[in-house]
Formats: sequence, C-alpha cells, structure tokens
Amino acid sequence: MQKISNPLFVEVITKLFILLVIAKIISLSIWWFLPTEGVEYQQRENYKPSYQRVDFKVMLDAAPVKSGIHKQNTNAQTTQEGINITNMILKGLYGNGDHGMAIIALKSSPQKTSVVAVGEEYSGYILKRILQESVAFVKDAKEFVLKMPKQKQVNKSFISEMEEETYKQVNRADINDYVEQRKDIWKDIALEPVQDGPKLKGFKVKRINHSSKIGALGLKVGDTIIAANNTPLTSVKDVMELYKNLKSLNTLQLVVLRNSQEVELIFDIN
Amino acid sequence: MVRVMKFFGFFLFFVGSLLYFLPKSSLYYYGEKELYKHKVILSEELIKERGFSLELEDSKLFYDSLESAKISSIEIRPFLVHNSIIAKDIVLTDIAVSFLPLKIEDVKVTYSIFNPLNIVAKAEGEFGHADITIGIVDKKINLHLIPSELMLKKYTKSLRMFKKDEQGEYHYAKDL
Repeated sequence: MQKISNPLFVEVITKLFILLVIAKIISLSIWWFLPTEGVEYQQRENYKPSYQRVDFKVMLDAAPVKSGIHKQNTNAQTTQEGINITNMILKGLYGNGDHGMAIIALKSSPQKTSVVAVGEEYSGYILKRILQESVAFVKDAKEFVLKMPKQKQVNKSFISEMEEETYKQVNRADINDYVEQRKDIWKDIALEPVQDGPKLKGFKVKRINHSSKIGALGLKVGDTIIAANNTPLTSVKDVMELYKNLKSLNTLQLVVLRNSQEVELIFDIN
Repeated sequence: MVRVMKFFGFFLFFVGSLLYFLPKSSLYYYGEKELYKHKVILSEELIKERGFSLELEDSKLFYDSLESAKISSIEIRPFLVHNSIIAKDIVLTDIAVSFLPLKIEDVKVTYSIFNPLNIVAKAEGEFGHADITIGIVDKKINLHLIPSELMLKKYTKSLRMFKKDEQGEYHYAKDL
C-alpha cells in the first residue's frame, strides 16, 4: 500500500497545531480576567440652578411669613387669598427635598419677596418640597410646580445701593472675544494658583493690564479669586469650566480675597 | 543543532501565536482603568485590533476631566520583549497655548527588556525634539529638549523651567 502523507510533515503540523491551541487557551485565560469595557469620559451635568441675585434688603422688608402648616386667619393671608399660583414668581431657592426654602414674589409686585420654608404656607399654597430648579406647592390636595424663570435681566433694584467698584456692566462682545481668542486673555492677566496645604485655595492675580478689557473689570494685582458664581475655584478644571460657560452667563459673580477680606465683584453681561 | 533550531522555531511560532491571540482590546481596557486612577482618560476612540497590534483612532485625552489633547492615531504594539506606543498627530487644547506650541507630530514610548529599568520616549513637534527617560526604580523623569525656533522665540517662559547646556540644549529632571 502506498503512503500518501509524509510522517515528518504530519508530525510538524500536529505539533504546530498543538502549540496554536495552547496559545489560544492561554489568551482566553488572560481574556477571562481582563475587563470587557474601558473608561469613557462622561461630561458631568451641571445641575446647579443659574446664578441669580436677590435683593435681600427688599426681602427683609417683605411681609412676615407665617410659620406652621395650618396657621391661618392672619390679615396678610386674608388679603392674599384667591391668588393663583400662575401669579407667583419663584425668585430663588435653597436646599433640596424636604429641607430648604424658596423666595416667592407676586407678578404684580415682583420686588416684594417672601421667604417660605418647606411646610410653610404662602397665599393658601403649602410648600411641599424643593426641586432642582423648581418648587412643589400643595393646595386642596393638588400639587403645583412653580419653576424658576429663565431670568435674562438681573434685578437691579439693589444696584444703586452697591459700591460702584464692585458692580460693573460688561459688554458681551468683549467676553466673547476673550473666549474665542483664548491666548489674548493671558496677555492681559497672569494668574497663579494659591495653595492651602495640599488643596488649591484660589488664583492670585500676579499681573493685569489695566488698559485692557479685563483690566477694566476692577481686579487688582494681589487679589486672589476664590469663587465664581458661588462655585469655589479649587482646581484648574473649575476655572476651565467657568471659562467654557462664560458665553452663556448673564451675570458673573467673583469673590476675591483683597487685603485679607472677601470682596464680591458683580459683572452684568449685556 | 537541528534539534535546537527546531525547538527555537517552535518557540517563535508559539510566541507569535500568543501575540496574535492576545486579547489586545481587553488589555487596553485594563490599561485605561489603570490610567483612570491617575485621572487620565482616553475617550471617544475607535479601537481596531490589527493582528499583532492595536490601533486607536481619533481619541480625546482628558486629564483631571479637562480635555487636554486630540490624538489622531495611537498604535500599541505589545511585543512582550519590546513594547511600544506610537501616537501621531496630536493637537493639544487651548489650555496649553501659553506654554508650548499645540501641534505634536509624533510621540513614541518604548519599554524593552533590553532596558528594563527605563521607559524611553521620543517626541517631535512644533516645539522641537524631546527625548524623555522615566526611571522605573529611581522614579525620576529626565527630559532632554532641542527646542525649535518657534519655541525659542515665543515660549521663553516655558524654557525657563529647563537648564541650558553649552550646546544650547535644554534639560529638565524631576522626581516622580
């Protein structure tokens, strides 16, 4: 009988096949212990309600708020009965869920604000809970949600009372120029991170060109910018996020440490 | 002699097969998770297994949640005895605009068993040419920079971090 195969060839092929199978088994074992998916960058949503200023002076002058869910028969309430929730404006909120308070005004007199805590009553509506950008009221077992308006204009009633130095009007085109020509900003200002132990405390103004657009904002050499729009600036990321969102802001609030005192600078962007 | 050659041949075949079957994507995912511990994320990349290597296209590099660079292609070659990562067409984001030119043509990072104590990297770009050595045991980074004219003209502030030698080349050393 004639042999149709070369035994040496068959032996080599068999050995190679066995090695191939071993290599595959080893790779499968490695694969078994490795993760099946990697890491993707997730853009963090900014759930913070937009920064809005409230006139605290007017707020303190406002009619006293009634405490207690069923406390009734005060003169103030009697005069306000019949007010519909659609006539109310939510001017600010603080807290979350069952804890916190809302600043409410009526459309007829938007500057006359009242602070209402969760559980308290306003014009027959009981504040039930604080949501992200709205509040829930209950009246006659029905729930009503009052949303924060998209405020374009800052309440300016307080502006005249503020020091001129801490409040400035800023041209939106100037802000947009800086955002689009990012390199230009560093020609006009130099910032240095300020460490407080291992943590970053803020950014110190090392140099500022006072004849530039940014120089006109009122920042001074030696100022340490510690917060912007109520967000502490404790990392480069915080600054970059602020920078990225500059175009969409209507008001920019900066808190700076000047001569060991906190100074609030407000910029109304028009 | 024939037996030795035969053994060597089989060994090479085995190592080759192993490299081919290696779950390169999964190894990359493992690497991504390790990098994440150091706040480094490679995102939006298109992963392609290429037999003996792994290719990543159009990835974005984030450091501490800040987009730091866009990388057109990264090739990872896990050859066991000689491993390399070659990144091409890197554009840094505006964050770095004050420190160095934004375009980097290529970066090659190599780790070889012939130089087991060091990770070696070479980079070429608008900034010039850089040779980087990272000591694994002594945990030191040494950077040797030959700056471009653009770097010498416009980024003198960044060059102040370096020590200049007699040949006009710049050196930087730091403990990790």
